[in-house]
Amino acid sequence: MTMSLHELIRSDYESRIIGGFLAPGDRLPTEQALMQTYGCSRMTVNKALSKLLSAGLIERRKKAGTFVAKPKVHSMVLDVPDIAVQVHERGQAYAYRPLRRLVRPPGEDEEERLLAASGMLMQIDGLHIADGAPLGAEFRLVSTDAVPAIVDADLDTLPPGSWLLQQVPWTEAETRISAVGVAGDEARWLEVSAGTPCLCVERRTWRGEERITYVRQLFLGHAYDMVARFGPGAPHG
Amino acid sequence: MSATGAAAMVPLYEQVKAHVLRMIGSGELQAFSRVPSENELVRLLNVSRMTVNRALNDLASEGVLTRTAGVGTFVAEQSVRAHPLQINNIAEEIRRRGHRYHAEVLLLELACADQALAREFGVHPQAPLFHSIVLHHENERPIQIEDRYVNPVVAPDYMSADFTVETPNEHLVRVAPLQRAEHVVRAANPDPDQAQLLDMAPGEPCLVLRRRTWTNEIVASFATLLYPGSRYEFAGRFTV
Repeated sequence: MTMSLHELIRSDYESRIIGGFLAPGDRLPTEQALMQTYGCSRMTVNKALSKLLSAGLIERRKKAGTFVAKPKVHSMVLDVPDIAVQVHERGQAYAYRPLRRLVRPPGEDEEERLLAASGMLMQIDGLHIADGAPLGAEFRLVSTDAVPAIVDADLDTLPPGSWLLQQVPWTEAETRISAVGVAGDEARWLEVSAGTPCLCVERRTWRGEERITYVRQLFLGHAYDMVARFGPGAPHG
Repeated sequence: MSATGAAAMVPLYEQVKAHVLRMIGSGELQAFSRVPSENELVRLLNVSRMTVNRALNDLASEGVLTRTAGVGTFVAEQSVRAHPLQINNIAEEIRRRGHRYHAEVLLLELACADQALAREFGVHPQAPLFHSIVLHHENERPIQIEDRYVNPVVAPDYMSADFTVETPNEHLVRVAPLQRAEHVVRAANPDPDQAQLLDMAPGEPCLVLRRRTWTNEIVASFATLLYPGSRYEFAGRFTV
């Protein structure tokens, strides 16, 4: 195994950062210290550091030193997107059509009981529409315990997801993405035949220990995709 | 591992440390995974036991590994969530579930970029690209079709790799430092060949992930990963 020294230094730190052993905000040793540790010149150290810099893994703060950078993440499983914003970003007109809305006690389902806690559930079903055509259907439950204001919220034009993002800061989100063939009511709402492939997104969000909402979204496979980018800046092309 | 020429400038024990760190950084070794034994590393890297011992002890004192006499050396628990750049590795994912993994290489050839690929890679139409199709299996059942194009500039040895031993992703992680990645996920119907390869039921949709990665500002690889909808999902949990 032959490897140049600057490659070794770069690879060492890349592995430590990506492996999680150095966290965002951790300070890297000074150039002097690195020169000493690896027994090399300042030029070698700088060559390694500039590769880590351009990879977005570290950042230089004037007078303070070199630190592990906070990852610029936009990840489909780590983020809670605003559908209305996403549709606009694609250059399409967004509309929300409410389908069903009621306050009810939780059913037998464990999921519903945990979400309701000591209160009720607001069930909000609706349709996401892009340029006049259905894009996705949404089945949502919100805890009235955690978000009492949801009961009287104006959700006729603003989708509940967007309303929640604006009103309720979340601290934890769990997302599952799968592919399913749409069935029954949902196929009719989406104006497609049963079995049409759809991207199914299930998400649970918390604020601290408190569950806020559970949502199941079905997006038409041919009309919707989820994009995630990792690394510095947005790719071109 | 060589102790002659340019490599002599880099202490051998540092090279061993780098090797172990790369195994962790690429996801091949996860938190709590057992690190290959000293004997295994001596054989694998062709260095002395003393060199391996020093490297592992160094990493232990840095908190990267934990060493327990009589038990073994393990990757320490990370106190932070894994960096998002840690690209999913299907082989490791399957093994982490405690299942058996194997790959079937369906295709490995030199191809010409068509209009669409030329656009994805930012190269001229007809530019050469390496093309591989690998069928990944979990417990002997097909779980992913990986159809991948690679820029020969970033991975010149791609065509001589053995993808039953190392996945295309592992090969690329090893030879080309990952700079950024773009994932696009959608649901779609498989074509009849794909449905048959993945042993899918009639009418079952696929989860499709298109992944583009960059190395040194150029598109290194463009892969389309197909999963049977009934047997796979992407999941993640994030704490702000």
